[in-house]
Amino acid sequence: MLKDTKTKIFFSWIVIGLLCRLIFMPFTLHPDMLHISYHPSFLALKGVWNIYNYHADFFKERYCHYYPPLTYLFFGSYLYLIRPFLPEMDNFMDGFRKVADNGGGHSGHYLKGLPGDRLFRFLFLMKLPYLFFDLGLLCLLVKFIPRLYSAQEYFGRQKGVGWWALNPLLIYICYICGQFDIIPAFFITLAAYLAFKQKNILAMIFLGVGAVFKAFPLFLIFPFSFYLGKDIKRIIKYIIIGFLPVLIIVGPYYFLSSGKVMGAFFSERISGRLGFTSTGGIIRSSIFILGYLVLCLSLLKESVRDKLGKLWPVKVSFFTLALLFITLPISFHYFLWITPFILILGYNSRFRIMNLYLLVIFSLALFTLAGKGMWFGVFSPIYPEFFIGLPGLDEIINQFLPYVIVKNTASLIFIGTLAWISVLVLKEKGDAK
Amino acid sequence: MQNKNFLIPLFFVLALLIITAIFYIKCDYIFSQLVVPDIVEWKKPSQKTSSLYGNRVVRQYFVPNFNGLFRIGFRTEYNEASGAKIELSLREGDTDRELSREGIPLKKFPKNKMYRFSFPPQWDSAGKNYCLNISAPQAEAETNLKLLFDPGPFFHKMKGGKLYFGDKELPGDLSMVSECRVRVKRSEFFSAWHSFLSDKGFAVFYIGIMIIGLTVLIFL
Repeated sequence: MLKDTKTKIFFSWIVIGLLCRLIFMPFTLHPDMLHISYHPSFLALKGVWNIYNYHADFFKERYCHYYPPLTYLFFGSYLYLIRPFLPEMDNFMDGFRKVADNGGGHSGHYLKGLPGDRLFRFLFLMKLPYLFFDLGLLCLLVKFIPRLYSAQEYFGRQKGVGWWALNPLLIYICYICGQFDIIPAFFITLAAYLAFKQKNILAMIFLGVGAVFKAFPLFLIFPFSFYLGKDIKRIIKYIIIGFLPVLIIVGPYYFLSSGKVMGAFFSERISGRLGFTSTGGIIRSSIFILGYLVLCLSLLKESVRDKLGKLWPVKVSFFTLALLFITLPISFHYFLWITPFILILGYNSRFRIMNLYLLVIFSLALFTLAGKGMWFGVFSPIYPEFFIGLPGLDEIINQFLPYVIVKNTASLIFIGTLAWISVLVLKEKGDAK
Repeated sequence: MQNKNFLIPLFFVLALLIITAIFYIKCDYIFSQLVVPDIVEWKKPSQKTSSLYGNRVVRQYFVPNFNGLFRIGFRTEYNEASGAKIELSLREGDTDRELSREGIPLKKFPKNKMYRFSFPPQWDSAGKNYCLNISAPQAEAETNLKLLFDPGPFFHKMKGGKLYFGDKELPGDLSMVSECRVRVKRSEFFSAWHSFLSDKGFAVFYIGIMIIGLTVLIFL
């Protein structure tokens, strides 16, 4: 029994958070999770180290549309470790492939291909690694936040942990959909923490490590280097250090796969998603590039650095990712990348950010999670016919007014609110240098 | 647990429990309103159209996969709005017995969208042969209704699908969707529970950690 009330509240929130996550883990499914674990199963089951070459030979595709190599190696090793607990792993992977080959679809379609035995165990185990990174992220936040705020502004570690415990975005993305964005989000938060502690080289290395899981931390390497570097020589040094993990891990794959690994970073699908193929997309991308340049260059100015204060790694990460989300198309799970930074910035009530954060999540959900597979459909492992039969958000809204109006309005609210949060963060004086 | 910090999560847990209780008691009623599309519409580029006016009649035979057939949607286009009525009827395919009939003004049909024809649910519809009759006796040639159909053979046909234009059989099916209401029995939900329990090792582990978590929460 804990006697200190604050400690009691803190640990109670952690247990509530864990239970909330555990409840969903075995009973929900999104096809993306199967895609994430399917390719690494070649490493676990067949010992294929170079999926990028294997993919091209096996599936006759020019590029392998899988994530960067560390994701492959990490999940491959994890699947190898859990093989004794899931002897039917190859049946699950074969089932996924058969449905995917027939055009895929929502989770209800995939469930028809997956073996029914040990389905819940399979779903639980596939999401288990996220729990460790999630707890790691919480530990980082608990260590990080007291150092960022003065004694008057810090109200104890129990404050704010509820936002982690019941965070709908975190729970939905990691434990319902099974997306792995929590892993790169953990590494960029770790990098921000290390940069705050002036362990600059380690910070840049961890940004690079994050980028070898999912490419987006590459966007943070330049702003961090500009802030830390101050002069051209050191800026280049930090950029090189940031790219070092990418070179070390992706480099050998590049030569072994004759460049096919680059499909994980640049491919027609990704450029199409970013909108480079349309005029509107090119305009948006140009705004992003311009904003990004302004951000990087402004970090060289002493007045800007003073304004950012102690919170600089958090604010720089926040501004970079906010710019990315405001200008380029976004999926719901991408927003997890920025969430740790919003939790840090929102810790202090002066920011009034957390209410806006809820509005951002709500509006984002409205325009990115329309289909039935994204709502009740994720519960289809419990009863596929029933849950897939329930209408999607777009169908429900269409009963009252055209969904396209709601979608466009929500998208504008999302951009406006995120811009508003950015202004609030910018206005904040970043005290306590 | 006396701290007010926990009031909100406690509220959520209680709400969840109440919803579960209602769900358990009333589930047959609540879930009989579900819609399950039996088959999705065909891809548009392969579609052809056929005009309907005068004494032309289209008959689409099909066999639903599910019980509870209550609505059929089909894609339409038309040239001009007019006061002409379209006659729709659902018949038993084998006996030609009429099950439902509806007359709708042509102008109520959406352009290039699904029109949905609703009728009382057919609770034993799975595997039965049905026929959708469509005619437009009052329509003129220039104010006709166009029905879209897939000429095949590249896409699946509707299960048991046969499309007649008058007496002539067309190679394909209407661009259509049949929708069923599902009656979910409590016992059917228990099949997931049984499936969960059949993996004993995992069930013990999972229930164990949940109990441990709740115990820790209570004693903290």
